[in-house]
Parts: sequence; C-alpha cells; structure tokens
Amino acid sequence: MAAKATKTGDPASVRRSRKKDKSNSAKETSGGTPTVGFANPPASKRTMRRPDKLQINVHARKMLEESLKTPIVEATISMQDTEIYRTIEPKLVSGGLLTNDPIVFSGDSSLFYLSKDNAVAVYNVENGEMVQNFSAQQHQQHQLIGVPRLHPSAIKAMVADQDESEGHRVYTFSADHKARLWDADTGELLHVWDLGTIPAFAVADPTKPGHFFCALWFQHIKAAGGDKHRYSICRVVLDRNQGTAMKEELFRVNNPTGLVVRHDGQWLAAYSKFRVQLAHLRPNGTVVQHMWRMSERVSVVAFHPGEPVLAVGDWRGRIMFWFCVDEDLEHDTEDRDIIRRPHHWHAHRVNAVAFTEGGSTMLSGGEEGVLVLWQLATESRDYLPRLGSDIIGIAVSPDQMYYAVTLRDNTIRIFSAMNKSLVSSLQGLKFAERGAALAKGRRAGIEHARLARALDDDPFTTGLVVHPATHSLVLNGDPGFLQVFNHLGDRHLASIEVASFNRTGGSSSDDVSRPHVDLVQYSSDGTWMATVDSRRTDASRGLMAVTGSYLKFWRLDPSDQTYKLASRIDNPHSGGVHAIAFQPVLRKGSQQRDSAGLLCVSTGRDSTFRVWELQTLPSAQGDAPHSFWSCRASAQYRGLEPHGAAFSADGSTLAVTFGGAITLWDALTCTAPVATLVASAATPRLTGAAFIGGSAYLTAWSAERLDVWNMLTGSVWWTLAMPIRDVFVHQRAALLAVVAYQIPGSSTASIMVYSPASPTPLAALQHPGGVEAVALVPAPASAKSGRSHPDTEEGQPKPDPLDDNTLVVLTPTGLISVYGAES
Amino acid sequence: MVKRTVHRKKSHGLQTTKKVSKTSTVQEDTDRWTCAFDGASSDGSLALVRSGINGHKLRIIDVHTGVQRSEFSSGNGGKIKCIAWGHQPKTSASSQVLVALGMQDGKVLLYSPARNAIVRTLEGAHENVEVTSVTFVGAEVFSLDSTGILIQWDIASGSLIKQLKTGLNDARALLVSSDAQRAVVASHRIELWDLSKQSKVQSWPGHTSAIHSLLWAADETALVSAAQSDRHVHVWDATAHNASQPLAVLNADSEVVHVDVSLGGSVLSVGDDGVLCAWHQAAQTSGNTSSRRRNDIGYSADGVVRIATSGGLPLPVLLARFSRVATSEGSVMLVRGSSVKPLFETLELADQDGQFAKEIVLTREAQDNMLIPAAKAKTDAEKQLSAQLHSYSEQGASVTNPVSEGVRKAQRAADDALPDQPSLADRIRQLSVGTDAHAPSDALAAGLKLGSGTLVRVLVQSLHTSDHEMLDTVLGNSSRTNVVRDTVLALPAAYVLAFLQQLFVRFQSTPARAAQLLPWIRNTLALHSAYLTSIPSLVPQLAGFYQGIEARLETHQKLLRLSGRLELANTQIRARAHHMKEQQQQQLDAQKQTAMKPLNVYHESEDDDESAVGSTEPPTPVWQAEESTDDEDVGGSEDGQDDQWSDDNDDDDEDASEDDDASDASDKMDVSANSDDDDDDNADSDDEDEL
Repeated sequence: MAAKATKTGDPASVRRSRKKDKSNSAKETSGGTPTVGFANPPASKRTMRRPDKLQINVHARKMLEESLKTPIVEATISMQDTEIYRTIEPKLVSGGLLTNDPIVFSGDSSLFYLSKDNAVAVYNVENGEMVQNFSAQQHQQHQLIGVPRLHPSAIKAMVADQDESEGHRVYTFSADHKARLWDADTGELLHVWDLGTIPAFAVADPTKPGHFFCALWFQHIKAAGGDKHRYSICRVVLDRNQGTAMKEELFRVNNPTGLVVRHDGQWLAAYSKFRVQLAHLRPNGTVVQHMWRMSERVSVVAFHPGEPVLAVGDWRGRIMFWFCVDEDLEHDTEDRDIIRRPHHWHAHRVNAVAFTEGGSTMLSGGEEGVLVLWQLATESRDYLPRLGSDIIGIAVSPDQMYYAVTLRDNTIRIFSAMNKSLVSSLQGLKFAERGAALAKGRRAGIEHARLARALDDDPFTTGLVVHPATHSLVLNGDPGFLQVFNHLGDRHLASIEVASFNRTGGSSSDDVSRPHVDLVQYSSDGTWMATVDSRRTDASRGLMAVTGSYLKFWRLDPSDQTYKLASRIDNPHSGGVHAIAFQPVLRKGSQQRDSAGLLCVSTGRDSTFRVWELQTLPSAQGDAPHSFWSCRASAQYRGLEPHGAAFSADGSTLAVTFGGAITLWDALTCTAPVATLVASAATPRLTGAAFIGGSAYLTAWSAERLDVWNMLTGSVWWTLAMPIRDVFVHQRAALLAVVAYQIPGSSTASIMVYSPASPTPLAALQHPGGVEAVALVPAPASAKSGRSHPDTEEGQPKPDPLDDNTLVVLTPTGLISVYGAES
Repeated sequence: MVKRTVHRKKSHGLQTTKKVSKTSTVQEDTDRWTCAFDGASSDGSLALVRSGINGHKLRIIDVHTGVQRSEFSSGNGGKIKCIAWGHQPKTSASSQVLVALGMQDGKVLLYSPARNAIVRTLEGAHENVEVTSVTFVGAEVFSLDSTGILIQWDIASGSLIKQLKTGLNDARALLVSSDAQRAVVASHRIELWDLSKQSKVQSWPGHTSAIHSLLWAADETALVSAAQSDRHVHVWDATAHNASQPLAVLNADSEVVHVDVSLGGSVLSVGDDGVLCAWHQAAQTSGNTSSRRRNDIGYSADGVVRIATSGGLPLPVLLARFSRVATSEGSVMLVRGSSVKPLFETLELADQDGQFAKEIVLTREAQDNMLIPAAKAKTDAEKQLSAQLHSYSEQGASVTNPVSEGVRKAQRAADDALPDQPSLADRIRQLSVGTDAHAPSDALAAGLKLGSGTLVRVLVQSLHTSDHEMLDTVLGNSSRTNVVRDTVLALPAAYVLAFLQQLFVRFQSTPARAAQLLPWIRNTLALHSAYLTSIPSLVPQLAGFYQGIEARLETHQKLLRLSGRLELANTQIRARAHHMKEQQQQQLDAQKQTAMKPLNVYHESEDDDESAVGSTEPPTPVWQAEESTDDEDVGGSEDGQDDQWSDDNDDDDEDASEDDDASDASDKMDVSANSDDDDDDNADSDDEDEL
C-alpha cells in the first residue's frame, strides 16, 4: 500500500509553508494558543477534540524538530510518552550500479572484478556469483554486501595483475589520489601508493609488470568555450618494495574520454570528443605524438593487436580502421593521407570495440543491443542479438574463452567464445542505471537534455512495493518492465514484462514509444497483482500527453509461481490513473483460495474512481474457473479529481481523497460518501491515503503535510507539516515511514518511522544525497536470536513492530540501504 | 545453518513420486535425501545432494527461481552423507557462504558455492568412518562420525581444535549450541554433552530407531527430534535434568522424513507420503503447551497440507521449511516437483488469529515435459535468465474496454428483463388475463401471435418454484378455453412433463376437480404430443394416470358409448351446418380448399388403431388450437372431454374416433371461416362462455 507522494511541486509554495511553520513555532514558544502549526480539525460535529490532544501535537512537533536537528539518529526519551527513539543502524547496502565500463578479468580468467564506488567486488566468471568484496573503508563494523554510500574514494580505474603466481591481485586507482594493490582472494590490502592527484584512467603496460599508463588530473582551465580539464598522460611505476610511485609525463590531453594501449606497450591512444591523440613510445625514450581531429564524434578507440591499425568507433555507427600505426614517422598531422577502411553495420552509436588475441575477430556493440563479431579476414559477421539493452562495454578474457558484455541496464553477461552460449549473467538494480545516467548527464552538458527527456519518459512512479509473500522489492525496471529485487541478497529475482513493445526504432531512436509502468500493487496474500501501464506520445513535450493506459490484473499461477495476466482493462480512466489499491482479503477459510468478490479501486484523471470486482465463471472443461475483473461501481464527488484511495483493513470502507477532503464510502455500494473528513479548509490537494494496517488510523498526505486520523473518534490525531516526498504504510503492522525534506531544495532527506498512535517518531534518520523511496519490509530474524514470542497474550507488552521490520531506503543513485533496529 | 538429512524410504514415498512424475527420467537410486536450506543469509538457497554417475552431486538451487546456481560433483564415487550451510570466518570484511560436506570416507569438505570450488578439506580425524553430521558454529565446524567421535575444526587453518569421544554407537545427528558449549549427539538415543568439560550432562531415551533430524527450538532450550520409520516427532526439554519423557509427542500421519521448527516454536513435518503436518507452537518449554493435553497421547497436527492435481492425483510435498521472517509465524515454503526440478512455493498456514488452518488441499498441476525447456536453454545461466524473465502474454486473459462493457451491460440488462424474470407489473398483468390482448408474446415459440393473454409466465413460475397456490390460480382459469389453449401452447417443453405430473396429482387426489383439470390435461396432451412422444420414459410416467382414468371410466362404459353416439350425431349436424356454410361462402377459392385438404385427413385417423394416445397425428398448432376452441363451441365440455378420453381408451370404438375426426373436420371449416379476424374469434368464444 505504498502510495507515492508527488514531488514537492513549486518551490514558492513550499517556501510559503515553511514561513508559516516558522511563525507557528514562534507562537507556540510564546505560549499562544497551541493550535497553530497543526491543522485545526474541521469544525464539524464529528470532530470534537480534547485540548490535551493538541498538547500532544505541539509536543510532538517540538520533539520532531529537535530530533531532526541532530545529524545522526540518537536515542531520546520523550517526556510524555514512554516510547523512545529506537536506534536503527544500517545493516547493509545493496543495489547500485555494477559498472559503466568493460569488466576486468583476472589473469587466469576465472574471476572478474567490478568496482562499485569505492569497493571492489570479485565475481566468479563461471556462475556470476560474488566471491569476495572489499573496500578501502573496511573499518565499518557492519557487514556490507554492496558499497558504503557516497564515498570520496571512488575507484576510477582498475587493473588486474596478470602475474598471478601469488594469487589473484588487482590494482585500483581511486579518487582519493591513491593506488592500491589488493589480494583478491582474501580481500587483503597489500600496498598503497600515493599518486598525488586524481587519476582518471589507467591501463597496464602489457610488457612490464608494475608499469601503468595513467591519465592524471593536471589542471582546470576556465575557457570561453567551456571548462577544460587538462590531464597528463603519465607512465606510472608502482614499486612494491619501496612503496613509491614514480611518474613520468608523456603528453597532455584535454577532457579525455578514454585511454588505450597497444599490446606491445609502445603505442598509446587517448581520445576525447572529436580528437584522437596517438603517442609512439620509442624504445629510446622519446615520444612521438600524432593528433587528428575527427569529423564524427568519437565514441570508442581500440588498437588492433596484429596489424598497425587503430579502430575508431563513432556516433554514427561506423568503425573506422586507421592504418596509422607507423613506427617510422616522426610526426603526424591531419594532412597526411592515412588509409582508412570503414566497417559499418551499426545503425546507432558504437559504444564498444574489442579485439581477440591476434586480431582475427573484432567485437563491437552499440545501442542495438547486438554483439557483432567481425571476422576480419573474411569480412563476414556473426551476431549475438537481443541482449536486452544497449551494449556499453565489451571485454575479452585473457584466455580468449569468454566475451563479457556490459549492458546499459546494469547487466553483465558473459558468453562463451566457443559456442556463444551464455555462461553467466549478473543483473543489478535497473533503477541504478537512471542514477548513473543522471550523474553522467550532469557532467556532460550536451547529453543532458536528451537524458533528461529519456528519464522524463520513464519516471520512477511505482515507488518501492513489497511483495507480500516473498518480501522482495518490486519497482520500475526497464521501460515496460517491473523488476523484482532481493535487497538482502543483492540479487535480481525477476523481470516482469507488463506490456509488449518494440525494443529499437529506426535510426532515430526517439521514435520508439515505450510503455511505462505507472503503478503496481499486490493483494494482501499476493495472489493478485494489479499494474497500470501507459504509453505516452512525445508530440508535445511540455504536456505529457497520455495516449492510453491499461489496468492489468495478474493472477499468481501457483504451479510455477509466476503472474499470469488475467484481465486487461483498456483506458480505465481517460487521461490516466492516479492510484490503485486492493481490498485486504479477509481469509474466511483456507479452502477459499480463489477469493471471488475481491475488490480493487482505481482513481483517475477523469474525476471518477472505479471499483473493480473479481468475478469467476465456472469453465466448461472442469478445470480452474475462469476469473476476470469487471467494473462494479464508479462514483464521482463534486466533480473533483480523486487521488489517493485505500480500503480499510476489513475491506468494508473505502477512502478516496478528493482535493483536500477524504471521503469515506461503503465499499460495496459506493452510492454516496458515508462521511467526509476535512483536516482544514486550506489543505492542499491530498495525493495519497492509506489505512494503517493493524490499527484504527487513517493517514492522508499531500505534498506539504501528512494527517493521521483516528477513525474511532473521527478526528485528526496528529499532523506532520513538512514537504513530504514519500510515504510508506505497512500493510500488516501499525507502522508508517515518511520521507520529508526539512529544508526545501536540500539534498538531505529526513526519514521518520511512526507508530500511528503517537506523533513521536519511533526512529528518525537523515539521509544525505536524497531519497527516492522508502519501504518497511519484514525482517528475516537473525538465525542466532531464535526469539520465541508465543501468542502475545493480554498483559504482555506487544513486541515493538520495528524489531520485526527493516527500513529500506532507495537513493537516487540506486543504492538500497537497509536499516534495522538495533538488536 | 539449518541442516536436514531426509531419509526417504524407497518403499512408499518414492512410489508416489514415481507415480506422479512419470516423465522424470532420473529417479533417486538411493534411499537417502540429503539437503539443507540456507537459513542464515535469507538469500534463499537449497543445497541438495543427488547421486550422479560418478559419485554424488551437490546442487545449489535458488529458491526464488528454482534454478540451479552451482553444482559440485564429488567424483570418484565419493558419497556425501551430510551437509550444512555456514560462513567463512570474518577475517576480511565479507564473509563467504560455505557448505560443509560430510563425506563417507571421513573427510569434511568446505565448498564455496560462489567460487564453485572446494576451498578447504578437513581430514585426518575421522579415519575412514562415515561422517554422519556436520554443523557450523561461528568460525568452527563440528563434525560427528558414526562411531560417535565429535571433532571441532577451525575453518581458517583447517586444523583440529578438539576431539570428543562420546562413545555413542552409530551416531547420526549432531547439534551444537550457538555458544559452542553444549553439543547434542543422537543415535537412537539423545545425549547432551558439555564441550568444555568434555562430560555427558544429560541423556534422553530418544526414539526406537535411528534419529535423522535433530533441531534446536525455543531459544535452544528445547530439542525436536525425528527418527527413521517413526511417525512421531518428539520435543525434549533441553534444560531439564532427568527427564525421561519427551515434553511433547507430535503425531504425524505417516513416517516423518523431514522436520523444521519455526522461530516461534511451531513444528512441521513432511511425511513419506508427501503430506505436511504442522503443529502450532508445539516446541516450547513454557508449561502452557504441555498442560494443554497429556503427553503420552501426543498431539495430532494442527494443520495438514496436501497437494493434488486437479484430477485428484496426489503430489507429494518433498520438503518444507518455515519462513525465517520474524513477523510471519505460519509462513511456510513448500518444495514439490522432483529433485531434478524442484518447485518452490510460499504458503500462509496461519489465519489472522494466528491459528493454523486445519486442512489445506492445494491444487497444482503435475510437472510435465521437464526435459523440454532444459533442452532449449543450454546453460544454467540461460535457464536462470529465462526463469527470471516473465514475458508478457495475453493468453487466457480477458480484455475489457469500459465503453464496450457499458454497452454490453446495457444489453444484458435488457436481456435480463426477458423471459426469466418478469417484472412485477408483467406478473400482475398476466394474472388479470384476457383483459390485455397485447401482452408481450415474443417469448412464445416460433413467434406465434396469440389473440389473448396467456398465463404461461405465471404457470412457469409456479412450476419452477412448485408454488401450489399459484398453480391452482392458474388452473382456475380452465373455463377460458382460449387462455387454456394459449397457455399450454406457450408452455416451454421443459415444463410440460412437470405440469402434467402436477395435473395428475391433483386429478388423482381430488377427482371432483376433474372438470377444472381436464381442459388443461387434454390441451397439454394434445398440443405437446409431439414432445411427449419423444420422451422415452413416457409410458411409466403416465402409467399411473392411465390406470386411474381407466378405473374411473369402467363404471360408465355405456354412458360413454351414448356420449360417443351423441357426439357423432352432434358432429354430423355440425359438419352439415358447416358444409352449408361453406357452400354459402363462395369467396373461398380453390387454392384454400386444397390447402385445407391435407389437414383434413380421415385416413390417418383410420389407421391410428395402434397409437396409444388418442389425439392421433401431431397436428399443426394452429389447427389444434382452433379445434379446442371449437369443441367449446359445441358446448358439451364435459362430453367433449370424456369423449376424447374414451376415444383414447376404447380402441375399438370406431365411432367415437370417427366422431372426433369428424368434429375435426368441422373445425377446419371454422378455421377457414374465422381465420380472417382473430378479434371476432375472441368475441365469439367469450360469448359462448357466457352461454
């Protein structure tokens, strides 16, 4: 029942509300009437409230403000309530981007290395399982599966030591100016060298162990045509015995996008957008430089291992062979008539080019998601199609047995070179790819607009949804897909294709209209899944014209535990769907498993909400009855647009928010609202509503505030007036988690976990770098504890719900942090 | 670190398996199923030992997708006797998941599923004696061999830390407490040892046969044990001294092959017949459970889960375990299918009150064509990929468009207003029959247009609900011949027999009502004779009625004859009158004459001697209908009816039948006369009623 709060819309209104808050708090301290800062309950007969409730609110408000001032979670004891802040600590971090580069094979091709931020993860080539994981920040006590977040010592380059007489070794070059040597088998840090500056790229000299060519940051030039980062390409010798790093500058480049070395260690090529710089390192120590400007934007460069050829891939899909590697030439200019030979198959940008040993085969890949194997001698091509996403990196294992392909959707696939069968596949959180794209877009200004557009087409709308049976996370994956992800094991579980579509378009890939999964919800026992997907036209960029949306109901096929489409409803609401919610099923008995009569509500832009009902028809063949969903009722309220919708725990009452009002309806009839709850006349548009599981509370929230209503008294129990980003309501336990931004526009988000009965948060923490979504997931009990809590009888204190749940936080960069109560 | 050794007897359990999964080519050739769930990391893996061509194979299976993650072959005929999950010591930050394999030759291998390699071999302590149980505690491995020697190993160095000779012969199961201070070893009896003092602390009688499963419960204060060929699961108090009795005895339905204990102390067992039994919070040391029922009787299962195909064929549950998620006490993962391709499923046993559902029968399809998808996807990675990608398919889905659905709904609503459920207004209108000549008649067969209202809806309703009062109301209209005729005519064939039966019942019980009933009976028999003759069981159905009629008619045979004569005369008079009328009607053209002729057949009635039901040939409805009206015209209703029935009964009474036919003939003429305007006819009949 995670409903998604919309992003805080216009900053002005946010500021206004902040100002109001400030004045409110000022009044509070001056001893004025303590009603301000919290919405007055509507002056209706339903909501008579005792003044001490107000006191609690004020108190809570102060508590909250106090608690959030402290940077990290701190245990504070409330004066009025006996409830205390629970210390919750990060348990592990998973998700994140696997890599943007070709993977690095170990020398014996049995392992490969990935750099995740500041950590190195070692994987088995054969089965894609992580075997080791180490980072420069080992002094954290807790076990980290993935990466500690936001670390300055992010690894920029990684080189596997080809000499493996002493085991697997890997060098890392990280942004904290350090080069490190690791034992990949044990995760032990063997050596650290100081480079003195930030490395950008590093390649090993294939002929001399311990020698590297690095692009080291040199200076930052502010120029009229744009900032230039000047890098010096150095030969770096890392001496293991003395622990010193010797640097020898070879030449300098501006804004390099890559650095490659020829197999003989004598030729070096660095390239930037339109420029390729070639350096010949003569045995006598002199460096001969060549430089060309390209007519097409360069995307990738590679040396042919056998012939004197530099292969240059460009944005138009060509791979040009430059026969330019000529040892005799002293100097080279653009005037020289170099023999060039194009290899053109790709329709889109070539992202990766690699050669096998000896150079008989060239591998290339691009946006088409097709790995092309060029047999250069015969000029014939072979293909590995349908890899699922854009290829952004290709690596060939040192023993020539494997081709590793890095795909844009955070996937690595390793193919056997023998029969091109898939050897292993490693799938990360697809959402992380968005974060990476955004970060990249910020760096490279030109691409930014296009990326932003692409992300606009595919916004993150589902939030984090917890599958009720398996407790895995479900969220937006690729366009048109949902990804099921196990955050504890950092493991991709499944991709569910919600709508079918064309993967690539013509030569201008903007033509592809991909469906977007807007919403996903599960019924309380996981038997049914409801999704909403839509296709948008990009004819008018400003106004997102929704051309069609589909509400789909999927039934869990118990035989193979997958969801099978049961009903598709075309355009349930003209204009789009805002929210869907299932009725929590009451288990009348375990025998009745088909749950006919289950209801689902959807609200949409057509100012109507509809209640859908599961109907079953006995089928003729005598097998499972055919079940389908049909519209049972639809209703409107004052011509307003409904947003949030939720069923009460017993399924009898339906709450729908219209504007600033919450309307309660009889779920079966939906003829007229049973009651209307209005927190205050000034309440902005409520974007979501949910009944809090296991309690008599209802919560509704807008972009600026969150109200918790006590349904027994019909009054506002407490209110949180902050710019709210996301709200997650636990389906079973009486818990809700709120993401709010204390300071609008800042990147630090506050996350509070509440029990609905009290405005004092059970836990609060600050998360730098922003938060996309939160979820409360039932925690696996630690194997050791073996807590036996028999039936909670009366008199016994109820166990703290936080003990049994973990807080899962998804950051914009795609990292999933898992917090749990201290045991 | 959950370890199970499942003994699956070849005798019964495997036969069931064989029966169900016929397509499975690889069958277990051992009587031993060794498997362990990865309990600690919640990552969800199942380690399963299968016998391969060359020794045993260990498969690590992802429980989320059911796909194999890695496979290890022991080679050289090495037999894996026990397995356990654990972690490598945390020398580095990341701890690596390991599986310890106890081999038959006394070695303990530490296998890393991620590396797909043996990372360490622990050997030198068990001298070629089968390692029967192995378990992890922290950075140490404990192994037990069949001579009762318990070894404590250090994983990092691979060296032996401690050795304990328990002297327990044929030791089978081992448990070590999480502080590595206490060890429980079991053969058929159970012994608790203090590891630091190296002394036996406690001993329990255990089971009568070799124990295969031993688990901690209730925070390591209780033990749960299950043994071979035993359908009881015993719960022992691990803290008690001198306890010779188990804390609880849990009775399963069949021999227990697999046991699991939840964090809350619920116990489940899988029997060799593939039935899962669960006991809600049975393994607890706190007294309330044991006082519930007496120990020696034992507890029967609180919940039972069976799986069957839709055809009723049972599918065995192979393994099961409780979910390790804290909040869900009754969440159980079931494993079914086969060891080649296990299928995993999560099931919620507990209802909202936390009680286990008494009996759950799941309907699942048996696995078939297991090998076909395997042939398509070559490598494990490809299999995994295909298992992870749920591609879109609209097969079997219904597609709805709100607009079209709205239209359809409206149509359906209109349809609903039709015959099945007449509105109240309709019903009232129908009750006051005859007044409304324009009652909707579209429901009637073949678009027949009737001149008057019918009672058919009320009749059908009353028959449908066997509402006798309503039926009597309908029957009370017998004097209105048109109504009777039309009603019977419109009566759907499905109700004819029921209607007749009702009429016969009334006819038998209250003979005085015969006058009222006979028009109905006669009309029904006459108008629906075509349908009635098609019923095979008609003779026995009507036999009672026939006999009753016969008995009643025996007393006045002569009267009947007289009646027949009179009828004959009467008819002849009428026929003559008709003839004259006909002659007068010159406008009747020749075409019409000929059209009438085939209907006006005397020959057919002549050879109807053998026909049982008197009303001879199946006539066209119109014709018959008019006939009945005409009979009324004649006036002697009683006579007419009697005449007809006598006609039926006395086959030899040629006169009567001829008589009847003659009257038929005259009817024909009437039709021709009155066919022009129905209203006239109506008026006629009304007039005659008054007369």
